Amino acid sequence: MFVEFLWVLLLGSLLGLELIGKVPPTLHTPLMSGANAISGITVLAALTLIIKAGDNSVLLALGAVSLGFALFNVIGGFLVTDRMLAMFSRKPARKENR
Amino acid sequence: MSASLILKYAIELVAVLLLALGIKGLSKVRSARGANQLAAVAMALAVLGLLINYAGDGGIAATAWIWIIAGTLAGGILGAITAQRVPMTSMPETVALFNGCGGMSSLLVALGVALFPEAGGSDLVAVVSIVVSVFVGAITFTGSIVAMAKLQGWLSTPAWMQSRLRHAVNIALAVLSLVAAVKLIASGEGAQGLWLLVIGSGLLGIGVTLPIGGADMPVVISLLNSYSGVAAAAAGFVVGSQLLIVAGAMVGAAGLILTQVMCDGMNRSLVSVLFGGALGATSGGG
Repeated sequence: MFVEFLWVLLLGSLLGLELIGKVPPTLHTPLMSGANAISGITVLAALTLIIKAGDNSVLLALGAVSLGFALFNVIGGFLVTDRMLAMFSRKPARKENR
Repeated sequence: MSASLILKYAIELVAVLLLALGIKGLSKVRSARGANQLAAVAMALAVLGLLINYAGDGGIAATAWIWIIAGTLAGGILGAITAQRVPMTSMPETVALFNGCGGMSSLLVALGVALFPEAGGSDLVAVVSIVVSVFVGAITFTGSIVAMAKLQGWLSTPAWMQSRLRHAVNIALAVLSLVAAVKLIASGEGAQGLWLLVIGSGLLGIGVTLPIGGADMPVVISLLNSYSGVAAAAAGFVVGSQLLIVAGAMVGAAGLILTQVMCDGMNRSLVSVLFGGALGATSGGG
């Protein structure tokens, strides 16, 4: 089990290293923001904690707070990235219309 | 293998693929907006897969659902409101705020499993991953909050923080965290070591971020973003989720590359951003 996880970690890291090469400067902040939203994938950990908590109310509350933080990251992150990207995707579209 | 497990694996595979395509697409102007939406869909799929798996495998208790819905509503609504209201000029600090909360989430999960081992495990692997998750999660949280506060102008750097003394303070904090980590790993459990680790690494995050100047902050936020990926991967080890490990590792590695790219764009080296302070001021000028 643990060895499998290590392989997953290794391959995931290698994939991440290769995913982005040249990034135009205008995309630095949106890419950072998008990657940040993805790192909110800890929602999965928070959900697992809540589901496995059973009747332990401290764990349930910890899990729920953790879920709240993670979802704040995910929902806020994706929406804010979309707002940024919408801003500069509109300009070329207008030029095309004219 | 139950049907719900197979379905979970299938959904997870698709989610990883979409997340990878999302990160890739975000680095090109044309595909960026679609890629962001793709990543959001992938995230929703990942959550769905997890819920289906647990619902099919023994079911999810009603009390659990109540807490899930409460957490979802609170985090989701606050996140949506923040994302809508925040001005376009303060994007880096917004990202820092979100990023800090992601780190906090990993930290809380690790704390929960550390305090109640029945939710995860208490073997060596579990303890080490809890330590990593707490350490990186706490640094991400406090570092991101300091970065946000500095960009907002709420915080200025105290003078002694710009002297060489800060290196000594940070090293002391790092040693404190290390001692706490070793104590935790050696004894298996023990709340003392745990809280010491939380406090030590939290203060370390503040101490490392506080001396860094505002112009270098976006690079630091990008680096902290990479850390939050690492924290997520560690949380994946804690709860035993391969998808979480892949996604966390991907974000951690991609964030590191992005940090390097941003440094290159500013003609700065990562070392001078992180430790430079006065050194950077003499060479960079401002």
